[in-house]
Amino acid sequence: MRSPLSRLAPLFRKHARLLGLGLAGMAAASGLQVLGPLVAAHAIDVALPAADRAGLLRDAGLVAVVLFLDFLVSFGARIALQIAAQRAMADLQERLFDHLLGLDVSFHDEVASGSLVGRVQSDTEALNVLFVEVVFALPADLLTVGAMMVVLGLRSPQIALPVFAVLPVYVLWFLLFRRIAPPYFVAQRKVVARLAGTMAETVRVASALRALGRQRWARERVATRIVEARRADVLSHLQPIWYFNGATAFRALATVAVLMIGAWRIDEGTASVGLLVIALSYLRQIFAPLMRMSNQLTTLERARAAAVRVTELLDRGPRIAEPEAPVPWPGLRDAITFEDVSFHYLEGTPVLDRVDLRIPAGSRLGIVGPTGSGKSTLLDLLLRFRDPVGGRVAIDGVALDELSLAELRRRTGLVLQDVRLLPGTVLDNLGGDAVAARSALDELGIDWPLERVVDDATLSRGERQLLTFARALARDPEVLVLDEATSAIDPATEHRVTEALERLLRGRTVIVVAHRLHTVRGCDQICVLRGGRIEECGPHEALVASGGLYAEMVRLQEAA
Amino acid sequence: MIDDLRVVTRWMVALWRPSPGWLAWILLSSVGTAALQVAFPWLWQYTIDSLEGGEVPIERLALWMAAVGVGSAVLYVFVQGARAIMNQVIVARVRQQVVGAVVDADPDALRAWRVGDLVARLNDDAGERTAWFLCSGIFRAWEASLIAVGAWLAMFLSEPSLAPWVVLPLPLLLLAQAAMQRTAVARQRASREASSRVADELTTTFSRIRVVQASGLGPGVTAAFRGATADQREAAIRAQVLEQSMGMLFQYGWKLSGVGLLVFGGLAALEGRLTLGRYLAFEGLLATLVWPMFDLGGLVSRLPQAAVSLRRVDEVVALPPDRVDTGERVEAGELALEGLGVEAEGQRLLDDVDLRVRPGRKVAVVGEVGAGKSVLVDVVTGLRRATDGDVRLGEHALARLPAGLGGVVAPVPQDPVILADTVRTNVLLGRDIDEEALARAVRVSQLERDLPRLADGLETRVGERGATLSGGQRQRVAIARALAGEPSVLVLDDATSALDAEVEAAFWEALHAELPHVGVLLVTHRPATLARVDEVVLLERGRVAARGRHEELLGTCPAYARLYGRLQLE
Repeated sequence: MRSPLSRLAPLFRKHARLLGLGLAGMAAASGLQVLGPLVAAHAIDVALPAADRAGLLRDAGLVAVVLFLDFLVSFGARIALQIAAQRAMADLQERLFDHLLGLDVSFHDEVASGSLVGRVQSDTEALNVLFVEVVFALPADLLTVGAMMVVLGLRSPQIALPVFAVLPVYVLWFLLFRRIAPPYFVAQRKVVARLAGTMAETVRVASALRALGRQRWARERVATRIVEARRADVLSHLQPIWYFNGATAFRALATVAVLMIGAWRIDEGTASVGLLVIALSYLRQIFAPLMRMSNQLTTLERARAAAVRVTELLDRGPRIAEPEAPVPWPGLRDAITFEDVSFHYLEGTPVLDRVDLRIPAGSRLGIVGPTGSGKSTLLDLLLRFRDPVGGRVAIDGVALDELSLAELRRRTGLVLQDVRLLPGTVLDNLGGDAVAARSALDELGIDWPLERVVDDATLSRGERQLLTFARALARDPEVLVLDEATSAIDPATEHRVTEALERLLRGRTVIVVAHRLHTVRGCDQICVLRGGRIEECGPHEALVASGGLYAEMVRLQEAA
Repeated sequence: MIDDLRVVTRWMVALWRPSPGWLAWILLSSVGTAALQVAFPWLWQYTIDSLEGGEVPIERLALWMAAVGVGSAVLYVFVQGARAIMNQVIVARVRQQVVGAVVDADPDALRAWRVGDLVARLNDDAGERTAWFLCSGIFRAWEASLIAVGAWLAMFLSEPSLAPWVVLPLPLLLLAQAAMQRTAVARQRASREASSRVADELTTTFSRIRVVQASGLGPGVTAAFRGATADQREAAIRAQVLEQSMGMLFQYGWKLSGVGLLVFGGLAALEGRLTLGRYLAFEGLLATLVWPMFDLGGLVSRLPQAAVSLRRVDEVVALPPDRVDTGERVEAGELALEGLGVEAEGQRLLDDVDLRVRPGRKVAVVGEVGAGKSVLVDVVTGLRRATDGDVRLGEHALARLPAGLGGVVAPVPQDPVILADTVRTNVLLGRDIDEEALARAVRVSQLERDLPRLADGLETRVGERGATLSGGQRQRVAIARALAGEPSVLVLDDATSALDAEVEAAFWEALHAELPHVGVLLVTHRPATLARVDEVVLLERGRVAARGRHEELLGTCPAYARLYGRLQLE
């Protein structure tokens, strides 16, 4: 099993050229950074003793050129790497989006869309930071440190000695930090998350708690968490402080050692001041990546957790998938049947209990029943958003899971109570086929231009409902599944909506979940669902005559 | 700019006043570390220069340097440590104020705020970044200026002709930074906005997943998402390019000073005005200056952000407080609404409503969406002020009673808030009642049925927003919570919608048997519940359209019969 982080590496394959360019640039910059102090030392050791003004200025000019090149190359390389990382992460976001789009409704019902934002955005951002600040920076840092050690060692092993000596001390110090600090970071993240939770819930419940007269308690409860978080925060922030200052102290000692050894060697005549300049500036440069490492540790932890979550999500396949060899479907000829269908979300609490139903082609079925009777689940099964736990749903005798899913959804139109639109144009909301969209709108008598930008705020509920009808109509479905809206529509559009609905239903096989009895009155068949079972079924007149639950409801609604 | 400074100063004074000792330590110890940080490279010159017969023996010099170098690091632990501690103390102080302001706020004023906005201000604006600025940000800049002054002083004293050349880049760098600052902030904002558009695309798409999958909207939403990620990518890159240039400008600007030093220091050395030791010391001082200059630049760029955050915090802290919760209980009695009216934004939400809940009686309020049911509940529970008319509880008028009446009129909302804590805490909310009263609340609310199924009974911790509880369990917890306050009147706002019929029946029976004096005002969509109550009040557009017993109304009031019929369908 490969680690989640390494599984994400192929994302960069597409951007290999940019990445290679960036890394090569970083390496070149390393070389220039090693070179700079060497040129400066040349000026001090050669030009100064010879009182060669021209030589001094020439060397200084060379240092400036090296510095300028270093600036350009580093800048270009870092930008290249950042762009590569941004592009790769945008690719990852798109992959996640496509993947999520293919996952079942059951997955989306369980996982709040807010937490998907976390996966797709925060987690990819954490990975982005990891690549830019750790993975891409590390090779150049190692190269710089290595090259500096080699150069210095060759020029003067004695002066290099303190620099060599301080490196393992740095490494040990870092290992110590890695051993001691992480638990404090973990504790801090936990306590801070808890505090954020408590603060958010306190704000959310502020008015409820007031109504119960518990404000003072709520304040004290948050205060306790704040103090708890303060302690953990302080402890975790003290960790990098001891690490950083310890390393600074080691560097100071190494600097003193370099100066002393240098002074003695110069006194002996076996070293030069220029060499000291080189050693001191290398010592500073070696120190910088070390300081970064304390931050990189946190970055790495965060990114690792993000990679685990992202790969878990990518590994999660849809439970409802296209069959390998779908049975061809020439269109609804005979009937849609529910055969002994049962469904439950939780074992032991059935939502649908052995339901049998037959919906002949071209007929209309109305479903009524109280909340929680299983009406919406029935629709979910019909569109194969979920598969039944027992029994089967079939079209002309072929079980739904043997038919092509795309085909099934293409031939089945769905209109939901939920009339929220996708922000965008009318055409976006109608599925993108301009010809079909126009003719659907015309048929419903809506004269809006397809490019009109619409959103939930600018249209009334009734107008949005009309658009959802047009959306279904644009696909010219054979079967239409309709979950009637419960809430009232403004009187201005009510009439248009009723008319449009009638036009939409004409000539199709229709299954409608109704909240108003007059909607189902004209249905060929009305089924009353209660507690996941079909209590009675039949045309309006027969049900009224039988004097059951439906008749009772009709009596009440018509009491006027 | 001046305004920004004013806001920050006001908060600085308020937040630091309680901690003069820490303030003094941070200010003074910074002087010490600045002196040591300048002294360390300053001493370097003597190592080389003493070779030509200096007065200090080189071994003693080594000891001095080691002591200064190590001492500086050790002292700095305490300087940084103090700043780190005070950062957190300040964050805690700001947050206590904000939470206090929200919890104590007048409900009518609070209603104008979105919860998400308040939470964002509490987490981000009253968060670590702002506190960091108010302590670390400002005092690091203080330390940086001390180091800058010290280092330049040392350079001037040592070789006046050389110092200006070395210092030259600073004003240039600060100018360059100031010039780029505005663009940088704008680009960062653009980048944040682009990424929140990506988040919007995600939530819109996946909260409508059924429609998207069923209506073939996949290609459309995918294209929209691609567009949003492309924008986000470009905006992020633009922001990063500028950020990178600013950072590198500082870093390399100071290296450029090194070139200046090489030229003018070299020339001075040629003319015998500068020893090589001093040349080394100059180089060391220059390196010491890099990070302090960066900090100074950072202070300038962070000031506007901090000021914006503090102003946002100010807006919350300025919420008008509600009447103070004295915790005092009022005498029980009947709850009566007399000629009650509520007006908001020119609309009459409730008009001339009379209603009476006598001890032990159950009154149901029904009506279409927007008929005024929830406004009525808000008024009765003290969350909204009546525009006219009276709410009376026994002898007291509600307007003069402490907020929430100490739980005497106890609301139970349809979707109650469950705290991420134990079930016991959720029921008690810190109230000090005896075990017997608690047991009764648990029994009557039917929460008792759930205890065997919960891992640790009442001590079971429930997840964020009560995620581990079912809808019915949450409602039972909420009912127990209200009962634990020993109320005179229970206000159930569709609060039994997730209970199954048998459990609800058991609740009503237990309430009648064990707490017969408790009056109940309820809003319900359950046909079966309506048959149980003593009186049904039908609201239509804020007015009482009909009242009476359920069976009576079914016969006499067509509007009620229609409503009742519809409730059976939903």
